[in-house]
Amino acid sequence: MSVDVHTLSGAYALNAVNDLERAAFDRHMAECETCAQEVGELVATVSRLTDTTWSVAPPALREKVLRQVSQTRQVPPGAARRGGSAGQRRWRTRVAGVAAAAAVLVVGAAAGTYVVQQDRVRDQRDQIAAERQRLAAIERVLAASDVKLRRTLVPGGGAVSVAVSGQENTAVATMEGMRQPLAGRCYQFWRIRDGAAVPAGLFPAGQADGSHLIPDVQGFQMVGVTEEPCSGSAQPTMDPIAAVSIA
Amino acid sequence: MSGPMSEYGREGERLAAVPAPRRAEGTRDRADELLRAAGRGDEQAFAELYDLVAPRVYGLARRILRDPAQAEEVAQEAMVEVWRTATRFDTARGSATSWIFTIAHRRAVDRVRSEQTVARARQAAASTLDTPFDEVVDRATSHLEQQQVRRCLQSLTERQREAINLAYYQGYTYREVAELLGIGLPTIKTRMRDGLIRLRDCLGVGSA
Repeated sequence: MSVDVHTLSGAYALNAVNDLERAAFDRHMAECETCAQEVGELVATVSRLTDTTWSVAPPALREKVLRQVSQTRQVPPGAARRGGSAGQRRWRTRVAGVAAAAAVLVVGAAAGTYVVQQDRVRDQRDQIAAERQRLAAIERVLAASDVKLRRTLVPGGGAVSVAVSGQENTAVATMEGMRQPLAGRCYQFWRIRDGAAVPAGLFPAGQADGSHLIPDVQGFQMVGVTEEPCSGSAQPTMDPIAAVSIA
Repeated sequence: MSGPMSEYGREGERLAAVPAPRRAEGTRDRADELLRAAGRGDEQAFAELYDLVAPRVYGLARRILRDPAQAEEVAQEAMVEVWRTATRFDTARGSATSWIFTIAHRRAVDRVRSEQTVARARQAAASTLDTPFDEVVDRATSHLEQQQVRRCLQSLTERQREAINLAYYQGYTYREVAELLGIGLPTIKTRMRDGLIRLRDCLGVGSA
């Protein structure tokens, strides 16, 4: 193990690294048991630092959290560490290594979407097959050796992450924690080149979380998100809520 | 000079009457149980978990973001994320409190980093280096766990404390800390690691 990577354990435990460094360190830990143990202990140590931040939370916060919780579906258990074949495990390790926390987020959100989709189309095998193909395509992007990951926070809450692979000529946009679109409106994705936007698909009505596959990204510089009528717009009708560089 | 961590020296001087301190291990075990129950969809257990950890989740967000309204938003996002992903919590990979505070810290620094360029950060840090955060008036300063953490922080070198303070409580990356202090990256990485190892040994944090 290189001394350089190993000494990152402190900064990693303090969350004082950027996404790429976190990814590199996660990959390193997957292969280095002693490092994983050290980091586990340092993370536990760091969590004790919150003992000095104790502060009475505003009473309204409790109510808001519990209300939101009663309306929030939990992610399916265990997706991050199912057994699986050696090949799958290798893939997962690779994904964890490549895109770190944000990749877990992408996979988690994709798995959530999958369950919902499965409920909805239980008897429609072709749709399930299409969904599997979509997930397989997402997996290929995340596992690509040239994958790049960028994340941007959305004012008003939530974040949009985009994983892009030039080899796959595909991007995966993942939205997390964003508010529901207004009634009758849907989140629409765009590929953006020199300030011009080309439609790249929509989330179904009511969907504000999950992953969206954007093929044919070659030559585009950004992926953007806007809120549009659910029939989709040919051109954005507003400034992007989020725009993430894929160049 | 009064260093960035000087506040840790002032333990137990204020607030004579405070709630009875909870035993640290008891709190952590209870949090594990409650989070597991929350993972099975138990909202009642989650409400109890909220009461157990909210002061530190909110306090941490407040400490990092300073703005009470933003801290409240971030604490809310973090607690809802805890609920949403409680199904994936695994005690074999760490305690519930550790897991929850990691989520809260990431959320808070994500917010800070999205809003601050390094230049603005540098300016902010320059003005806070000598000004300990003193707005959280509700701190129960005689809390046993706090005293232990403060005592252990005092056992670090001033440079180690400074590095940990800037990273953890102010949300800077180690690169930004290096830039702020005008020192090399390997040095700052080592300071953080050595400081945390010393802190770990002082607090008696084991691999459980």
